[in-house]
Amino acid sequence: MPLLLRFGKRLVWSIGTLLGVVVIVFAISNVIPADPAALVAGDSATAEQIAETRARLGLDLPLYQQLFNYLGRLLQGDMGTSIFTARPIAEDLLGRLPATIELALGSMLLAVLIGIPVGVISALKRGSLLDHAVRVLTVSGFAVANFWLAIMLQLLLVMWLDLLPLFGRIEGDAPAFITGLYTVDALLTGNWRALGDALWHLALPSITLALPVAATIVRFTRTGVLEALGRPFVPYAQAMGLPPVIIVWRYVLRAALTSVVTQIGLVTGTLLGGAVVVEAIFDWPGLGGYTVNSIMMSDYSAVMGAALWIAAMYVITNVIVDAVQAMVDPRAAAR
Amino acid sequence: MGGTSFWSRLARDRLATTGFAITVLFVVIAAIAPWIVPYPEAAHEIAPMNRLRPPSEAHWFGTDRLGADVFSRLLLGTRETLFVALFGVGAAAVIGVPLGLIAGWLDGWVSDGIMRLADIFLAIPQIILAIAIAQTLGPSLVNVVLALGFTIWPWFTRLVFAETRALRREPFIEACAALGASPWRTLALHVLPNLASPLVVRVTLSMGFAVLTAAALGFLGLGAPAPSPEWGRTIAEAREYLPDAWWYALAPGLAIFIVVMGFNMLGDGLRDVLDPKLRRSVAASRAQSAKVQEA
Amino acid sequence: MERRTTFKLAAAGLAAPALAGPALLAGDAQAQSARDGVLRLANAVELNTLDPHAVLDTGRLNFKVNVYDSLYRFAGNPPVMQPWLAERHEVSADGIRVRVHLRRGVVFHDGSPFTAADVVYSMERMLALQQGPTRLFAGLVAPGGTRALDDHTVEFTLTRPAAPFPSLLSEFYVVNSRLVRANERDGDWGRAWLAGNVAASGSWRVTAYDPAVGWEGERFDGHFLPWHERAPTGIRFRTIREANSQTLGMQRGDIDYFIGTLSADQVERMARARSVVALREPSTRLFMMLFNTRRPPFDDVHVRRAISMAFDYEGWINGIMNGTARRSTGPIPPGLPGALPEPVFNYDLDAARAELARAAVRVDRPVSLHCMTGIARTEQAAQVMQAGLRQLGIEARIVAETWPTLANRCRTEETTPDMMTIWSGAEYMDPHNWIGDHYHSAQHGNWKACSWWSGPETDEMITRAYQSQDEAERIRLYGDVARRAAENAASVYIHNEDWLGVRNTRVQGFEFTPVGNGNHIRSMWLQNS
Repeated sequence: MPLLLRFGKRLVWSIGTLLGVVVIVFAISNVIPADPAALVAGDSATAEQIAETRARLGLDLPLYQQLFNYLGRLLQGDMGTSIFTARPIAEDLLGRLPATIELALGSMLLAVLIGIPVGVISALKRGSLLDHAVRVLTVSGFAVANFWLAIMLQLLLVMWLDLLPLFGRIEGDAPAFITGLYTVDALLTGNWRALGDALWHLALPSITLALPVAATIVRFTRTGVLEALGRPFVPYAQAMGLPPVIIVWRYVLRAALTSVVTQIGLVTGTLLGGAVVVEAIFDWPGLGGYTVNSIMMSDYSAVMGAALWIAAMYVITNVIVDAVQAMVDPRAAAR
Repeated sequence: MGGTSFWSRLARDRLATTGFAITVLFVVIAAIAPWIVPYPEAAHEIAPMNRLRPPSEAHWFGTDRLGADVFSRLLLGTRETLFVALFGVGAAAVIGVPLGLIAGWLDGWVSDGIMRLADIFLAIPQIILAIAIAQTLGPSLVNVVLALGFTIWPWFTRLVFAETRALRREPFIEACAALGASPWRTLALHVLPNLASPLVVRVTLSMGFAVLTAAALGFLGLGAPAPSPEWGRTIAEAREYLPDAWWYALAPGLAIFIVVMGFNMLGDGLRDVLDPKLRRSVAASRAQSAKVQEA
Repeated sequence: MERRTTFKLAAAGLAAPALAGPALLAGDAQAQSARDGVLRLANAVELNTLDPHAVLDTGRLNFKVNVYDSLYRFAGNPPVMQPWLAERHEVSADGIRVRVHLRRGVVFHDGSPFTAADVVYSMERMLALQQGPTRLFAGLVAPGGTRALDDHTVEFTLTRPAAPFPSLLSEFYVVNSRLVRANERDGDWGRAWLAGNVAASGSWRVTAYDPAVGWEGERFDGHFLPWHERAPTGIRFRTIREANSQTLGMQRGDIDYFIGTLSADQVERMARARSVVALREPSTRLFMMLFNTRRPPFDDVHVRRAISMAFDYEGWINGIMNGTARRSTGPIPPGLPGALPEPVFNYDLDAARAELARAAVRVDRPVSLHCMTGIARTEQAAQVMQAGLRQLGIEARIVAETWPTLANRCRTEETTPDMMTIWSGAEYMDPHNWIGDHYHSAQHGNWKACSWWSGPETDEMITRAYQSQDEAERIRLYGDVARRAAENAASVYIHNEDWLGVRNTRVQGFEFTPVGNGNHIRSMWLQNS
């Protein structure tokens, strides 16, 4: 089956990419100024004890051998122990993964819900005042610094208007653990209070992250719809007497969505990158905040682990997007 | 590109003109900032007893945590921003363009290897890569430039690769080879000039990205050290004094916004004028080259 | 996937199911009413480990002091040593053996009794771990130097007489040895386990812990001290790093009490809300800028003196610190025994220039001022110093580095920066904390001693003060070293800052002590709103 084969090839390629990511991140983190052996050995360790620790951690080996050892441990799911938390890094990261997934999904959903209708309307009213306004707004969406936007939204929506909570994932108690995504868990357990609470907290960081993504989606939807409107099936459908609403929202939009779906895969990178800064501002307990913290504490193996996980999320999203697209539109996949 | 028609076509696009005006203004301010700001010494002098004053006639955007004039520091900060954007994107082009040319010209494992490497770099969200590099090298403006260079180069490589591949089959290039011109000569004299238009567009659009990323690094304390008036670090400084000293955080954020907006609008306009095949957005060119790459 | 990965359960011992996160956080109505008795705390530093033997900095102290018990504890301001797990102690005539009589009837959170074996195990564990608090005891108590005489008596055999030893015991926390031993892995002293679990006897019993969020606890009614009748039934601890979020959270009443270093501006803004009370207590936290006195040109006393006169102390304290600090007079915080009455150097650029002219070397290279990444106060101080040095014609470059990197630099003379900003707080209440730890050559390699200013004569004076049982003589000796350090400008002694905090009006019974800097919440109770 060509579809399956293509998917398999893509998967192998992704694993190769991640392997490359490991090598790059390893190379970067091995020139950090702080001495990891000294950090592990502790504040009062003597020079001999530090040397001992270095040998124990294998940090005295040649670099390529260290990399080899790291990859070997990685295959067993061992990402090492964090210097800062003294816990297995994989465990630390797993604990923070749901928060980041929830934030990324929430932002993406918001961006799609805003981006597609706005893009379609803007294309239909091409050249109108509305279209111009949308064009200016989308250009702005790419231009605003997300950390600044986060702070300004906090001031506006929390401080002056008192509409939304300031930080964190939930105010009251977390819903029973199923997936770790509070909104999903609350839905599954029918815990409406927790659902409202979690959505309430999700709103502000999601809005911040969704803005540039929504701008991308608006642009691609607009372009896609304009192109699709020029295709021959439109006059044909009109001649068939189909109402314009059906033509646009069913046929034109479907044709336009192909490129939008690809974009969703690609902007995940923007989203995950943005999450690093935005999580730190909203005290969102996810991978991004963990990364920043680990960098500040010179916790080199934690930085490697976190970067690897985030890259993996990005790569996996794109494999999924690819698969979805192949299923929706086999012609595009065959290209 | 014919001179007059280029400018007149650019002038017809209102967004592009605005972008062009912003960019020129930004560069001019960066060039003359030390001679026009109301308080030239605000870059390094302090006035502890005059700190956190709200906007007034003497200080249009108020004063900061050490009593310096926020407006003066804002204008002085244009130099840092321009420096980082220019040299960061420049470094990326220096790394990315030759690699793209080589990968596009050659076949086989070298070409594959280069493009795989570009893919791998793009698989790490850019800001994370930039943070990791900047933290490793230590906080300084030059290191931000290096971090940007190492982060942005794959975009150039992909673009140049795709264009070179396309050009390689053009009769005039094949003719060069047939006449016995060395590949380097052909690449430098015949391929590269044909890449000027897409490269100009790419550079302009990357400038906006570079400004944003540099600001984020500054915000995280990985940019130029104090007392640099860099905008990202100014916003970070100002956080502690919110919501009261709102002017302190508002001004540099708006400045970043306007400058990035300028570069992006200019880049979009340039693309429309220079590259009619590709009337798309920033991300579209990325997607485009991604598709070319995958095919 | 187990639940513990999100909001990790770390109840002491065999976690009773009733303490599990979901149960604690169960029914809405119940949770709501329960929360009224819950004290909601926040601080700025992520609590990355629960191990009491891994942490010494004030930022992460809150957990240790409120969940674990130490042998002694300081209370009040000025601080007075109080018996805690210990009842009393005797020191042998030669000052070598310290016999501690332990409190009886103390139980750990899992109900098992506290005995001398726990003290012995804890000391050995702390020495083996080589983390923060080990520095205070290393070289003073040897491994195997702690003995249980019976279930309620412990004897420490010191390697040399040490007058401050009993006060160091306030930083010595006791773990439930049976529980930790059961969770040791390959002789790691339970390091991996204790980082996320608790084996304690202290005031609060942990019900949930997530390093990304904070921790929650319930009142330990089995604690050996009585509780106030309206003491909170539970506490809920959040890490909030953003200054902006801290301010808004306090003003909105989301936080009852904020632990940690707040700036004067921030406290003023928080206290603008009617429900917020600003707290200000004199404390003993010295802020200074160290020279690397072994590296030219800072090996020249005239250069150091000149630089000490180039810092605008007045503008710093009254402008930037809003008057919430007192000018420091030398290495010992003002008000403590041995402190100098007046600062030796004041802001005086002309005198600084004259002093610089007297120096044998010329400052002909840019000097580097190292500050801590993300800690605004250190960066601002470096800027003030930089502006002053500029007036002297000395170019200074500010370098921000993470604390681990900086501490690591201090291990050798060669890697120690030209100048760096540090705080020296009361790790224990004795002048040795500010003199011995900073200026005895045996301490070289520790960040506190990285001005590398020492000499045989001062070493001898410090050793004598350390070993003497005569309090007056000790204070005189420490005071003499303090004067020498100040006159030789071993560091730029900037200020001793007040502790600034905030509480919601419903929080009562707050008692501040400089040792621990506002982290003790044992005495707090909640007023009905």
